[in-house]
Amino acid sequence: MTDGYLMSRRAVLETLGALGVAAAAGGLVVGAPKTAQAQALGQNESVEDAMKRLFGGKPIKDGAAVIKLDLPLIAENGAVVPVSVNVDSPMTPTSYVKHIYVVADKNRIPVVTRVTLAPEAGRAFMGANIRLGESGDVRAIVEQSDGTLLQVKRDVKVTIGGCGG
Amino acid sequence: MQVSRRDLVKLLAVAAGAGLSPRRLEAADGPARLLAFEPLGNVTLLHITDAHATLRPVFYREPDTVLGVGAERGRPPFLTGAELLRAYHVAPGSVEAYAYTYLDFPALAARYGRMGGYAHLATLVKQIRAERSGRTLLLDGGDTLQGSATTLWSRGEDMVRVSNQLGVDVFTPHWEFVYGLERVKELFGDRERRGLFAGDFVAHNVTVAGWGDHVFHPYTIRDVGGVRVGVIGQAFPYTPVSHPRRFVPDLTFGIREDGVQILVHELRDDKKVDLVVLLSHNGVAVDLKLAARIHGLDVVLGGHTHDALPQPVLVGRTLVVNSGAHGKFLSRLDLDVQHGRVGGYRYRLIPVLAQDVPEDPDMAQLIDEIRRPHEAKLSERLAVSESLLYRRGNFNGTFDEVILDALLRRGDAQVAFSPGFRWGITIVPGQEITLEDVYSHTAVTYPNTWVREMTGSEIHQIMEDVADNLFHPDPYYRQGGDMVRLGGLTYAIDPSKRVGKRIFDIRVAGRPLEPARRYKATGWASLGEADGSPAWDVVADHLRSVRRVKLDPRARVRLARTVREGG
Repeated sequence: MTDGYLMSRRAVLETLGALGVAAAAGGLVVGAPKTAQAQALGQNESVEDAMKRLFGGKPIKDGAAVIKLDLPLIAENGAVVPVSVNVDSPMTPTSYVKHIYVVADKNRIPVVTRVTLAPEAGRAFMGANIRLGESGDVRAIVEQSDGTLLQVKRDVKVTIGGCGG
Repeated sequence: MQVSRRDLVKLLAVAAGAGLSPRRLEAADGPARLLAFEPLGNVTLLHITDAHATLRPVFYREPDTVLGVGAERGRPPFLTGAELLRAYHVAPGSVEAYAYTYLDFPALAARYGRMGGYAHLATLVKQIRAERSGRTLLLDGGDTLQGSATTLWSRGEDMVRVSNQLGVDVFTPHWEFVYGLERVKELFGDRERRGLFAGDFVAHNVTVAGWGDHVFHPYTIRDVGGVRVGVIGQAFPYTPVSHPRRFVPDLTFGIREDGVQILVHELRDDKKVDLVVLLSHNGVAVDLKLAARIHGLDVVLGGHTHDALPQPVLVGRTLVVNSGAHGKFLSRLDLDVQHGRVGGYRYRLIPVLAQDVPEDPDMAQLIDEIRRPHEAKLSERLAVSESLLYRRGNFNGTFDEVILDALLRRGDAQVAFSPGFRWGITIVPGQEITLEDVYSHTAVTYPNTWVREMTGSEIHQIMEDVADNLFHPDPYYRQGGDMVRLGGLTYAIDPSKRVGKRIFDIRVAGRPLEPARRYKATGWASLGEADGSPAWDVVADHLRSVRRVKLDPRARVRLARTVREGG
């Protein structure tokens, strides 16, 4: 039907190819940052601690003008929440998006993933299925090649459901 | 007195000039006034929604409490009763007051009678189609295949037959999905093939999870008297979280602003349509926000929240219409469309008064055919009610109290839950409650009751969760439905607070709810698996045993003072 819909699916697959990541049925797994992997399973970390650990005290600017964070407002299934991040940015050797982080504030381990991009990717985009334990903000943080940090966030509701209407 | 339509329009103009009160006018011409509509322009859109399988005329009382939060407070659709009458200049006691509000309901119900019914609706539709030959499009916003025993037993087939007979041109779904995707495809078709339904079934926001492929046509384009009309279908965005996931395990929904915007551009730029309509099952508050954020939408014909908006709300250049529920209303929107722009419009939310609109014989015959095999069973008289019984409203209605009483008694429980469905007909004092009426309040494909222990904090958490689905400050986060109905306990609520802070002073049998204590709880329509008796059996048995329903006022829910004074 519309190119817009088809493109996003194709784009996901293409980007996956570029990243060298295999897509498995309905979802994909991208590597978590090393620091997060180093944590013992079951350990809790507050989002404040996680942000401090990742970025120190570096200022993070509002990225609303360039970052498009797409994810459901109300999760249809908290265990599989599709999220994509699209950054309107040049991807040249001198100026490109280096990392995209996805952080879920209320998760036991808030740093969900970090994607590393090279200029060759041609486009600063990532998509993944993430798990959300409860309602809360999900942020996309973009680290540009000059070290600038940009962030957007959105509240995602994980509900017990039930209806009306 | 016999008044032609043309005469009536003149009469109205004269009356307005002479300063006759609407009350006088009412006495002068009766409900015929409601059918007088001076045609305008070149396109007539007729809209029905949320019929909830109400084949025959019923009583349906509009809510007394529908609270808006933040900037929404006191603005349509968050207006009820006297406030609504004032806002729309409707005279108390008039037929509009009966149709649009809860005020004096039993008295006005006695005067004006039952409303809706597909045979009466068919007469109106035929009349308008004859008058606006070739220029009329009839759209149905869904929730058509749920709410009666006959539609449950035929798995929606009866209502599709009736919709075909009525000549519904375009349809978008919500409750239709509780019969499962395969059944929806049998009845309505998909992108590859047609189903039983003779019109076009559109839903842009229903895709296969993980792949994003559309299951249904996202839109249809109809030539209406030379005007190219594009209709985008917006299915209820939160279908997967509102019903058991098993009905649509592989589908994903959502509001999808980007998707709507892309389609609007496609329709306007590539398909060269003159008029873009969104046939929506979002609910009014969501539609008002969406209309403000999408460019190029001319009309939103909305449903889901059952709001009967007496006039469209104009958002920028977009007209947002909502047409009530249970077949009470037929929306007529006449548009003057020239060179891809709406030059003018005229609208009426026409109350379908059964006693003033004769039945269409063909439709009456079809309805009779559908009902005949079940008539004897459904007309069983279970009890007589001395009280007015209704469900609709933000908090417990009186029919809910009957359901909760039945559940508490059957489950020998302390606390009972019943969903805040907006559908369910009204019983007026002195009326007999039939088995059919019970089905009107319980006919779902997941009717089973349950009994289990729950901690106080679990109970509180559920209440907060549901309240947030109703009162979240951002309508996009509202899943719809009214507040969960509770039996065995009382509580206070402040809708203006954030999630987790709205509900307080919860008391079970008069004593404060203890977070760690375990309570015996019961309910029905669970999203998980439940194996207790279906709710219709539990409620019907209860009514058979009590024989007579008389509800004393119950101080179930207390509103925080800020809301009461501000509201």
